[in-house]
Amino acid sequence: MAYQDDIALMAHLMRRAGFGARRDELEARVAKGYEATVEELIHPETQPPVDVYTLLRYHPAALLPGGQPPMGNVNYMYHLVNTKRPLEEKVALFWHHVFATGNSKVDNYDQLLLQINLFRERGMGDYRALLVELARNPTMLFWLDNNENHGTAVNENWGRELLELFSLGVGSYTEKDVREASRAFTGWTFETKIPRLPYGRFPWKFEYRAEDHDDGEKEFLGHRGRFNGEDIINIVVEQPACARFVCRHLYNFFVADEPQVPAWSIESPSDPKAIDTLTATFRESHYDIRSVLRVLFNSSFFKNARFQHMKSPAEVVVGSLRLVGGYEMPRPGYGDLSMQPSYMGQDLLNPPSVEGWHTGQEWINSGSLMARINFVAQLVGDPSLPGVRAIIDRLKAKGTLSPEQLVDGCLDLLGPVEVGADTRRELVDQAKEWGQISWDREVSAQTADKRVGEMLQLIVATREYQFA
Amino acid sequence: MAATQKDPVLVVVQLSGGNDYLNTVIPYNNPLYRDNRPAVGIPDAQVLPIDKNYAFHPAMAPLKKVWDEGKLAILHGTGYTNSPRSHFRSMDIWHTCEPDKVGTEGWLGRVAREYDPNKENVITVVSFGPSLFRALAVPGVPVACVAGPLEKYGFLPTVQERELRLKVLDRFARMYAPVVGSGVMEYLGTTGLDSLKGADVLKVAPQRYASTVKYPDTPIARKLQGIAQVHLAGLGSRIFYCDHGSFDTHAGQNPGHGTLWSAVAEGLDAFMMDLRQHDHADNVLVLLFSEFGRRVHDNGSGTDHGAAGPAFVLGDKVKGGHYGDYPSLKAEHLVQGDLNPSMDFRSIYSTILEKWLKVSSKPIVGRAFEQLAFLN
Amino acid sequence: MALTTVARGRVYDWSHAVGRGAAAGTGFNYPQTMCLGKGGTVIVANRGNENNFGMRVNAVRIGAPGEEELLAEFFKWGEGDGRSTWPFGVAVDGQGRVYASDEWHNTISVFDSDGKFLRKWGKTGSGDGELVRPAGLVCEKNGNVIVVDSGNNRLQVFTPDGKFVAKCGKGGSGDGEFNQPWGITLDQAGNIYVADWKNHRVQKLSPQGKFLMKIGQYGTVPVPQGAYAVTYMGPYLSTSGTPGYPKAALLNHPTDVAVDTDGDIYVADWGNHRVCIFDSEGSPLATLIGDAQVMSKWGQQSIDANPDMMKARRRAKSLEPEFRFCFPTAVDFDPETDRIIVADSQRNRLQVYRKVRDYTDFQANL
Repeated sequence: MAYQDDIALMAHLMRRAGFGARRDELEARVAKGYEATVEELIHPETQPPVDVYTLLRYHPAALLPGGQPPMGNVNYMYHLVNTKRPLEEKVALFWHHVFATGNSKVDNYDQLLLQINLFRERGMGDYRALLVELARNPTMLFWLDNNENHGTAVNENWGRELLELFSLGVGSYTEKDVREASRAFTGWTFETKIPRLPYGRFPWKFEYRAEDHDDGEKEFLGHRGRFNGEDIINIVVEQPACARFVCRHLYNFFVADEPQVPAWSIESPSDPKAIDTLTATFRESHYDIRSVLRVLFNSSFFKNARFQHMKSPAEVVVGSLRLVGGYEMPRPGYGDLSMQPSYMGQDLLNPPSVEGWHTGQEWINSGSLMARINFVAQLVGDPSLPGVRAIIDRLKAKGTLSPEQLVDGCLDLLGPVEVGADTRRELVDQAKEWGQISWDREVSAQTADKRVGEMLQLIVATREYQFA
Repeated sequence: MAATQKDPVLVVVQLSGGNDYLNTVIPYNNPLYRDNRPAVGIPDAQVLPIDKNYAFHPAMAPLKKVWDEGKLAILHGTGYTNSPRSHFRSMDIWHTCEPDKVGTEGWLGRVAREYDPNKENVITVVSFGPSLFRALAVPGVPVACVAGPLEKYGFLPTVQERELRLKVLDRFARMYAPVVGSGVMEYLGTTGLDSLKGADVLKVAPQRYASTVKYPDTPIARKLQGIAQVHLAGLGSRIFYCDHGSFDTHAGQNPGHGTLWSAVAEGLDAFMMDLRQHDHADNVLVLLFSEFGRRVHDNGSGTDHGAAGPAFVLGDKVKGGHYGDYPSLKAEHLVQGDLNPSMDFRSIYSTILEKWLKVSSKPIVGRAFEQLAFLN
Repeated sequence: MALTTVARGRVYDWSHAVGRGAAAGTGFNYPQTMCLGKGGTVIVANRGNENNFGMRVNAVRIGAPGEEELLAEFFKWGEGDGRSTWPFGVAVDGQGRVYASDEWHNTISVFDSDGKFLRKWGKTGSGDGELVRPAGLVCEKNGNVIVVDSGNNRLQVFTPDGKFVAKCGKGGSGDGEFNQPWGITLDQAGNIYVADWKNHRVQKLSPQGKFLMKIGQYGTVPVPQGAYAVTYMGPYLSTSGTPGYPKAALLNHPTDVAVDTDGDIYVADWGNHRVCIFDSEGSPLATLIGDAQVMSKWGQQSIDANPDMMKARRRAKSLEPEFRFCFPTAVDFDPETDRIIVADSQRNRLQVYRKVRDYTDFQANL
């Protein structure tokens, strides 16, 4: 069963480094090899970009969507569903969660999409450079009020969150450091843009106003000088706390659920050695996220962390749509489809606050659980969708299926998914009520299709399926 | 489930998109109204005067009836200072009572936590719409979100065959049996069973419901009928939430704005009639609000985002009338071309919380606000 | 920037802008295609968005600057006759009847000149007379309608009541083959010009559908580091802040074509945010990039009603980005007025130019 192990491991990699993969893709990737697949994933430029032109032909309103949903979400969802660079999107989603910026204040999905683009382009590169770009990103400047941060009147919002939520974490700096960092970013703002009326939105552009910058001496984390913003970032990334902070985030997002950021100053990581490994790579590679991810995905702590992560709503929705297929082309209704993660508690492009989403089991409440199960069930129960058809065809190729074979076949092709003995017994008991299924006659084939759909629905409703 | 049937109940109807104040409560005798509304003004012959100064939009006839009965309070000039004119931000402020920072807890979610700290009734709050309104969101507070028809509410609606469905849901319950001490799996188990229970409880509402009242065929009327069904079933739900829109009438405001208001007014008319026929109206209070009002001057076809707006409270226990002052239309009193808010929205909340829902308002809205007189 | 463009004996003078962003009434909402009606009117198919706002065909009289006037609105979002889900193509026949395609339902609806629904035809499929994502439309002098059957990569000719007459083309990149074509036009001799969208070219066919000529090849500006959005969001997002336009005759997803009375060819070079003008042999003459320095009438009304918008405009460092086309989808030439009309899709307006025939140059030392 070594081959089956390879499939399971590859499925794990693709769920975490992407949004899952259908069986034919898993087989192709296993043939290519695990390490080679990791290399492909961390080098997205080797794969073609998403065809944005096709999106804009059919949904032109997705280009400059303004402040109201769902056209911005349509744009994002189209990328997530169609990307051939799954890790690029996954990393962008990661940074969207860490550098959480929301439409609730920005009121401008165009700008949020541009920020996501920044994460796509720079998210796997040099973290120092990413922070500099983030500090120049008008969406972020507005979100954290740095346009109100003046040489004569300091606004500490950006300066504080840069240290607390974007790089070091509480406890690694003083209030004075916040003040000094904020002073260093005075004058970092954006040009007045052409307003939205009457012809639609225009983008913001970064602007550095030297006359509004406090050029005086600052004392920051033990360094002294007439620091500007970039100097602050240079000092920040040198801090041991920074490497640890970024690597704990990566671990929490890609490897296994842990308590979230606010707990980090009091709780140690569950796998300190793993964090040490990542931290060392981060520093040795000069903050190269790609290098850290290479180590992460090839590590045994990653390979052993199957189903240790509660799927986020984005993973639920995108993973399901990519599994069942048929949602690649723009179509009417893409708006509601793209809002599905929000119905499950993750309003993409509009996180609840700068702290990002509450993850892990906090994704789950009575409403969101029903929303996620019903959404996935409705898709996997539809045999007209190509991915569901592919699952049925693979089962069909095995001939007549006993109840156990039906259950195990469905579990296998949906993941492979690992379920507890109690869960499996319920599934098998249900299958036993149907008896053997087969596709040898037209009538029985119809029933068999239906039974597979029902079994798939029951499986995606299990507790175990909520994990990746 | 043991709630007495006459506990006070709040129904919120959110007018999403920014309802136009000037064409809702029309200052029809003010020449500045005509000056500012060359394209989307409502002609004198069509307005529904409620007194010598103000008139309702012609589409609001059913609400005029409630006004005449003395059961509709108009809350003038609602809003807050530094209105951001963004749908999301404005709505968030109304939902979280946090005008100055990003808040994450909804004001009604906090009420639900007060009412049912141990989550004994998973349907204390019922929301009609696909997503959870932030006004209801507080971590750990269950909210039933009914996205489609109430009859279809529950797990796995795509498994339709009755017998199979019962079996599958039974298996679901067994598969979610909490395993004590297993952390996240236990939590998932409890949540799944809570959710299943909520669906089971709500399921009886449409079964118990019988009414002669015909609701109009509009989304808001369907939601209000769903609320009536749950309320009349006596399941102990205390807070209902729904919305209608989009009131974002940048273009083609006439007749669009009228269509929106007919749907709301006629829907509410049917809803109140339904409750009265079942003798279940007297413990229901309805609040209507929108995230902001619209620009004073029209843009040739519609109106753009503004600031102050009207809110409405109606119900059998409401003392009808005007509360607060209609903000001045004079150019020198406008803020960026908008009506300047004269009533903090948290005054309305405080009044409802203290006088209707009977909970202490300060922990919910942040501090003390003026109490209004629309409730005894 | 110049309002008058002079090139190889031709002069193009910017006249005015028409419209503003509006989901209903006085304005446009993502025009996909456009055609000329009678007496200086244009008929525009507006795509709308996923909130089911803005879908409609509207007829607007362009008039002189400041005269724009809404004449009719129809084919709005909804189910049933006269309604649409995804409006795309429009064409007007000799009697003023309007044909409009719905590329979701794969139907063609016909309206009278006042916008009253008359009939519809078309069904999904790839057989003769069947359609997949019908895009541009044009009426021939004999009353027949040519439909760009985009999803099937071919053209089909129908009688006015929808009977199949003929077809030409298939998927591919060879001569006479198409890849998701968009707009279509006819010259005075009845030759057919098609914007072959995914092949980044325009093809000229005889009235019988025989390949005659092709214009253009793929090209766009190189994307500087950190400016993924240069071609994706408009011409103004490069880090350097300067607009980048590629060389003439390089096209990026062209969407429409028009031919004037001299045989000059205008191509809506959508992805490069410009209109490229070629002579009848296909050699490049000039490029228009949009010059809307004066507000449209309806646009001005928006500004007048919103003092904060006016304030922001007065603070903006430059209004130049507003002058320029952003994904222009359609171009028409009105022989009665020598006007070139461009549907500036992402800016929800039309920009009107005039081909000046009696231009005399001024003294260079003024």
